Amino acid sequence: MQKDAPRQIRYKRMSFFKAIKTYKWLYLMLIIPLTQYFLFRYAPLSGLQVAFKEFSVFKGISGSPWASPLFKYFSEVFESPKFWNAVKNTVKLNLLDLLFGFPMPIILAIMVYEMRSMKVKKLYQTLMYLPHFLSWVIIGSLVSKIFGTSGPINTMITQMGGSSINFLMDEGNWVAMYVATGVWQSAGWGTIIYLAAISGVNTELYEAAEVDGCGRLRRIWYVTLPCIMPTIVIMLILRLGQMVGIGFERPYVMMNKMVTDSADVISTFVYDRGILNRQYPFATAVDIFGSVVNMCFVIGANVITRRMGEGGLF
Amino acid sequence: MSNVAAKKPRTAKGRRYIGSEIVFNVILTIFVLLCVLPVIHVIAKSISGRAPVVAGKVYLLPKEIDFSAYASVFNDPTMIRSMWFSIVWTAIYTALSMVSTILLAYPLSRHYLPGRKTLMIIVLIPMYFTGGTIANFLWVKQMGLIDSPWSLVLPILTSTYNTIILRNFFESVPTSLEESAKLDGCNDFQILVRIILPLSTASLATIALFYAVARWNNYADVRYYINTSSKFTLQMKLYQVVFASSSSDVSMVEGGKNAVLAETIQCAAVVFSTVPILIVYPFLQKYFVQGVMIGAVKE
Repeated sequence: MQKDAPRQIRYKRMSFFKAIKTYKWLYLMLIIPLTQYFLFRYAPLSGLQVAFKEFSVFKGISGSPWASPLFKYFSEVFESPKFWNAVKNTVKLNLLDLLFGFPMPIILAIMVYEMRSMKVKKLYQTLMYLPHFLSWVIIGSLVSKIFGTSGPINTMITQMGGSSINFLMDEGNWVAMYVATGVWQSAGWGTIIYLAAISGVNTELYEAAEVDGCGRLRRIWYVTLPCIMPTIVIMLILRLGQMVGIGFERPYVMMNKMVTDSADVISTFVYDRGILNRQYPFATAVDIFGSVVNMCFVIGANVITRRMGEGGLF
Repeated sequence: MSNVAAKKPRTAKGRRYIGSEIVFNVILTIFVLLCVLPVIHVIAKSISGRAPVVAGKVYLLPKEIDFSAYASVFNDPTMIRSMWFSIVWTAIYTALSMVSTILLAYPLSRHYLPGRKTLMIIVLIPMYFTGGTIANFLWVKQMGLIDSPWSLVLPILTSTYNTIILRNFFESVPTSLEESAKLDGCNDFQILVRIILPLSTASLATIALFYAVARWNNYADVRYYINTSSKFTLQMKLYQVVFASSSSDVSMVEGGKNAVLAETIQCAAVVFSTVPILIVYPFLQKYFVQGVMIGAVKE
């Protein structure tokens, strides 16, 4: 973007009509995508007012009367213990994800980069990217087949004389399974961005480190890691921005009736209240809460990284 | 593996770091095995006989090989229908998304286009602020798209992320080509179709794969918008087979009453739904990595 700035100025002075005439084909192209953007990204925002209305399907969004008091559904949301439970679970699962999931791709990327043979490198990469391409339904199926009470893990445990562990029905175990599955699915794929960053490191630095007598581990610690620190920080901001947002598929697919207290997160809570039970104003209020808090996180994380001197995202 | 890798000295001094070499290889091997073994286990179970599966004897190698589970899956018309439905709508979605993405990315990549910055902002805002599940749901409902396969296509037609990747690529195409074409009397649309697109086949393939895999794997929107089982995608069907097969309301394959047969059938269904991805995986992998790289260059 910045690179283009001087050019931008050069082309700035052109009247509206002249621009339309000169670039009519370019503007015509935009009709299809912009229609899609307005119709399916901006127009749905009008549905947010449902959170402030006594919504009735028959009257439609604009026909429904405003709720009185206006924030009725928000106070209902904030008084709902289930809502706070969902928020707590979301943050808890996201924090655990961050704690275990964030360092893994970095570690793996460094190790893969250190492999000398291209073939070995490729082999590791090909195999570790695989889980990324499996859908959550498939991953959930795999988990239930492997960690279910009659799955191979429990069979092995009982054969060795232990008693079988209920991995998926016990709340504590479920959380561990949820986090482990996330790491399993995304760690390999996450290495790509770090591998790109590592290959961008100036090799002279490595040579200099060697001359100074650094071993491999020290070289990784003193050269590789500091060099990819900007990438790490940016990835961390992106992750922090998602602390309150949570996908629907992963918790939904892994969840079962026994663990709803630990597994109910904002997305599944919204689905249950809004789409299954048709409490649209309530569920929309939850959605709005999520969006707003999310934006605060992104902005907050950005401010922090600016202070750290790493240059923020925007 | 570690031996092969350790033979070549990396540095001028010929240091080998054998200790860390072994540790790194062990860790990576364990991780890679963890990635692959679950899939192998399910494949093994799906082609094993009933008895060893009940007894929990099947780990990574099939026992008493028996393909009857697959016969059941293939004889289940709902399974085949879902597969077909997924293929058709993934193709439709991918094709339409490509058109829309190209038409958005190209003007965005022309740095001289007045209004480009505004356009970029319009495109970026929905990345950070979305209506959320319910607002989108109500909108889809208002448009009369509930239970229509179009609800799986139109709302997610253009991915902002993919658009930016493609825009970055278009920006890297030398402008001299465009200028000479303009002198020859080509308009911008002709330039796009005749010059830019043929030069970007690799990127276009990448983006198309991004779209196809996303649509193929997506499950949430089917859950939200589709009610009729004839319009269930393969993911939705698989969810029912695996997670709801104990309840009676699911039309399971013949013999589904038998819990053990169901186990092998479930595994066969998982494999059945995974195979399309595994078939295209070698291509996917290469192009996807390229795609991520293209996207990363400008950031």
